[in-house]
Amino acid sequence: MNFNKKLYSKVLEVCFYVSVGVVAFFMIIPFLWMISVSLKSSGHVTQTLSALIPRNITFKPYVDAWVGAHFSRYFLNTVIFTLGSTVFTLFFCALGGYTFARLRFPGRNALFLLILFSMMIPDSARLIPQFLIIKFFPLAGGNNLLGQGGIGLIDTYAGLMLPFVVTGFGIFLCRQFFVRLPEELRAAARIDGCSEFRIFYQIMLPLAKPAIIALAIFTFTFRWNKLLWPLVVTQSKGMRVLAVGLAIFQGEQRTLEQWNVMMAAATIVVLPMVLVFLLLQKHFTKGTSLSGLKE
Amino acid sequence: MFKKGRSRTSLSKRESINAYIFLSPILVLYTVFGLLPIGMLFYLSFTEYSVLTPPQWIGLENYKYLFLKDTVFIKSIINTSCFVVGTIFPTLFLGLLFAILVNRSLRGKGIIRSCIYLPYVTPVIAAALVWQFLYEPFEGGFMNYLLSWLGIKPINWLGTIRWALPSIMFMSIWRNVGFSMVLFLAGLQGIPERYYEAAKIDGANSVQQFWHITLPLLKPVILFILVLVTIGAFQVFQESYIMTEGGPALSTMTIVYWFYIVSFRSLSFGKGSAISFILAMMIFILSIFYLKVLKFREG
Repeated sequence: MNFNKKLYSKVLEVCFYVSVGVVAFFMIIPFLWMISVSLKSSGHVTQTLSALIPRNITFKPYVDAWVGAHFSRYFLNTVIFTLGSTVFTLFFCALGGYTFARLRFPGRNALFLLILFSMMIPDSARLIPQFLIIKFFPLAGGNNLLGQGGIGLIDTYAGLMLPFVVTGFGIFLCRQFFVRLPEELRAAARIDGCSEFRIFYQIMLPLAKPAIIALAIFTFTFRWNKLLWPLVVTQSKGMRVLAVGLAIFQGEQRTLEQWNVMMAAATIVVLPMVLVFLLLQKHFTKGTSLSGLKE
Repeated sequence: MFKKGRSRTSLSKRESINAYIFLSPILVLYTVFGLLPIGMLFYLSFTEYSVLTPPQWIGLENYKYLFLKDTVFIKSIINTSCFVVGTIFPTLFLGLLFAILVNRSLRGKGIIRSCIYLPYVTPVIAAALVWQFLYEPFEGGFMNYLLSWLGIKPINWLGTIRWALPSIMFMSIWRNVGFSMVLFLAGLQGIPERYYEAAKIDGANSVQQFWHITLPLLKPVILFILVLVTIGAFQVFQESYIMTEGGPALSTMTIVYWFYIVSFRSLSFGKGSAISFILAMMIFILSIFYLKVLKFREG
């Protein structure tokens, strides 16, 4: 009887592990498949699953994508766009969040409500107006003071980044965190004669590290993922980001034999995100729950 | 006494000045790129505008055209609604299921959790490309290979009206399920163990415990995921842009995709603005509705 019960729970345990394992395996199949095909030579792309592990590994598809299809350039552009804009976002949103959380000033609630309200408007709704503002940006790209005559900031890094420097979500996230820090710290620092900016920069900012890391990860991931904005605001090949490059590259290749180069290109797009995720895993999951569950 | 009062007012004055100094760059940028666009969008949606000539005020013509004559727009609303409804419930259900599976003590928990979360961190565009390959109609396509095990003939997943949208939905569920799992995990871990202990003493079995303790306490999490996934799903674009280009026969044309074509391929910025204003309104109303439900629950 006792033995039977033990056996039963053992069987249940095994079934449980198998089902969880199958789920996990199915979730990463697309990644395995992507890497497998990216290491095959053109003739072997259409082989079935039996050849999931390629027999003759070749790195030629990566060379073709990186050099031949200019993905090295797209990669550089993406790094500049994502990293650059994320750094600005972190600084401004932390400062804004701190100000809204800690400082008293007339119009505070009204301004914060305005930011909350505009957070509910989706990004795609701002696409046309942002495009026009960038195009008619005064005194840039041949434009005169009224924004006429040239192309403005179209096809520049500034044009790519400017609309995303300050985000309502970032300010909101940081404010929620700063509100919970003890006020005594600030009072003590002020008695010691610290300026308000030094209180923010040297005392409060280091304490807000979990929120900043969470925001950094979110911002970085979202921007690495962005397609629509870079698609409309960049025009020359030399300014394309990875997402745009991959979309256009896919549009040009239509034969089955090219799938290995496309999968190599996809791997180049995915790999940095996967690495960032594996390195900062704890912060990822913590950040996901920090973003909204508390308060 | 008088002096103390004065120093306090000057202190609060200084604080206000500081606040506005800190906020000035933020407010300028946010006004120009965050708030001004909302007003511009509203105005442009009542005009005919192609960048080359100044906008012409035409009143409600764009809206009339979209709802009465533009069959593609209507089709895109139907498709997007199907996509939203068809993805949010599986995402919620599977997310909860995986969270419960992973929440108990088991070896290799971390690895399994990472495997399930990994799709969410991959850029949509790359994921769409890989899935396009998995859906290839030839025998080597992974999905058809799986079917061949079951003795089913290959299906042209992305090339037929019947399967194209469900295929994209399936991929989207695959990508989002890890996100909802992580949120559910956080929710599950927030439920105090003593509730379950008390229920056990009262003789509740695990199904009853789930139904009467876990599920009611997870309601805020469920609503939160519902809001985020719905807002994301309404804006689905990259998947059909890459995998099907809206086809076959417009069966995967989505609102944002149509908005992109109308605005940046046909350069009808007025009509494009009207489309994205309608979309923004749909999302806005839905968010308010969800918020009301949340508030109602708390009160």
